[in-house]
Amino acid sequence: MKRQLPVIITFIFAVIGIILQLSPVMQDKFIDPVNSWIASISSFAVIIGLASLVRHHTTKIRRKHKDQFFSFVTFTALVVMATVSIVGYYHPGSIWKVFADNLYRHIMVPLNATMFALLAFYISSAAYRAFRARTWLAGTLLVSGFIVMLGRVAFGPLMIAAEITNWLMLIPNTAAMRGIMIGVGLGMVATAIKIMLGIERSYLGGGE
Amino acid sequence: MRKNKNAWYEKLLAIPKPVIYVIMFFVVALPVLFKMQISTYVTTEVQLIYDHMEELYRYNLENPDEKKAVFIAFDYDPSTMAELDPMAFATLRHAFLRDIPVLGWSGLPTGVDLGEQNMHLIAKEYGAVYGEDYVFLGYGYPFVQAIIALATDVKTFFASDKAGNNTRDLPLLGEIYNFNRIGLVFTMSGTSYPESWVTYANGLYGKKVITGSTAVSAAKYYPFLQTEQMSGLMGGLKGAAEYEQLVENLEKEIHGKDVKTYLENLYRDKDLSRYDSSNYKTGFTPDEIQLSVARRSTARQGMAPQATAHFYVILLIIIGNIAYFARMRNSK
Repeated sequence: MKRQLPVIITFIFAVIGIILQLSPVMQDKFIDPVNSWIASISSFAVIIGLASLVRHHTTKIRRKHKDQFFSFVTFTALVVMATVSIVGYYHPGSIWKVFADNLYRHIMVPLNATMFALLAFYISSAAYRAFRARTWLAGTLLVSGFIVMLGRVAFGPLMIAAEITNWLMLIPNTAAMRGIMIGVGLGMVATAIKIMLGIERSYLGGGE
Repeated sequence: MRKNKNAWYEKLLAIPKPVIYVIMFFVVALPVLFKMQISTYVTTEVQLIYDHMEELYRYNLENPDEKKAVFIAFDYDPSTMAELDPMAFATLRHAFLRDIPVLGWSGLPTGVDLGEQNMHLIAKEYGAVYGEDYVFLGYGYPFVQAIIALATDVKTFFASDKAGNNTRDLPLLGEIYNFNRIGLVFTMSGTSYPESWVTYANGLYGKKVITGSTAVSAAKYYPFLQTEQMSGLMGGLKGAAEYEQLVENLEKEIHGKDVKTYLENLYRDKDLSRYDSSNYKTGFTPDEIQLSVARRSTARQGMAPQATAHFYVILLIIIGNIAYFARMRNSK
């Protein structure tokens, strides 16, 4: 029953979802309460996420894992950020609000931006070591990448690369992307049907 | 296969990673230090965005009592702000220049402060009043339900805005609270959120959706552009630079070329009691004016290091392949 009940609930609500999409009358009547339900249930994901994070790092600290220092950093960041943000929200003119804003602007923003900026270094290394025209397919990819990179920053006599870039993005890229998206879409439909019918149950957890 | 360690191609292929990284650092840093700037050509997909905004402006002129707003979803966080912030700046600038009301939110928890900050920052440059000309709702969560809430009354979903104001007390939301009075939806994101905007805002409610995405994500949105499920696309810093350029030309047309004087005089004849200092302080210090002027070309300034980085990567690919094929040839 522990595994059957969620499957039954999933099936019932999936059917309700389909009916709501297919029937405009039903949609008008019930879409708002259904949306409220989804919003309420989704909020629990935050609680589950937080509980999971705390459990993971508590276990690491209890077992004196070699990286337990980072777990302490995570806990400190979690507690400090949450406390100052919540207190700051209710006391907008206070030092808490200033502290919360500064934590965001001067710690979170630069850290986050730095992570993404590192991509430039990885790309340069990958371009040098891995981007090889070993086969004609790899060669085509290389030439296309070459033209697009040039075309994106084109000026003066390089404008021909810009023209070719636009063509590459609008025609071959669109065609290939559409194929990928159709494939992904069909896969999503198949997975949804499998979940709805209880064939796919990995989302319930507890598997091998 | 025996390697000839003294061969030129082996030496090239053995260049250590740190050397490549250090050169990349300088390649990016030098154009920034020398404040290099690149003007770019305008693509059709960005021109479309500009034209849609101008169309909305004309609609609002003809229907002053039934004005339509732009909705801006700041669906990004600091990791992608280098590419997406300039798009947000240009879009907000265009809207405020044309007196188009703006509603906004962020679909990411880490983007909420960024979105709010950007809205106030640009609103200040045009004397826009919070609650009358623009509103920032906060965190649109759960994302899809938040979009769907825009079909009925967004005030039922957001009882208060990000700053804690009751949304029923904000005059702008008294008039514009759902898709009926939203002319354009902008989503700026490095995630797959724009697809959800297409599915719901465009698919269910027929709204024109415009996407600003990071350069790496832009390729997957071209099919939506061709089917007109997206009405415009800004891809990466290049897209931002294009729009920024178009908006700057418009601003020069409206306010003249001297931005400094415009900013200095902006609040001179205004009724300052309308402005809440918790949103932004009216008036500009000389430093703020300088920053504000520089912000008008953020994307184009970013294009210079991007260009040099692209040329460097192209060079690396060429050298790497020449060395690779030389090794292959000698090993046969």
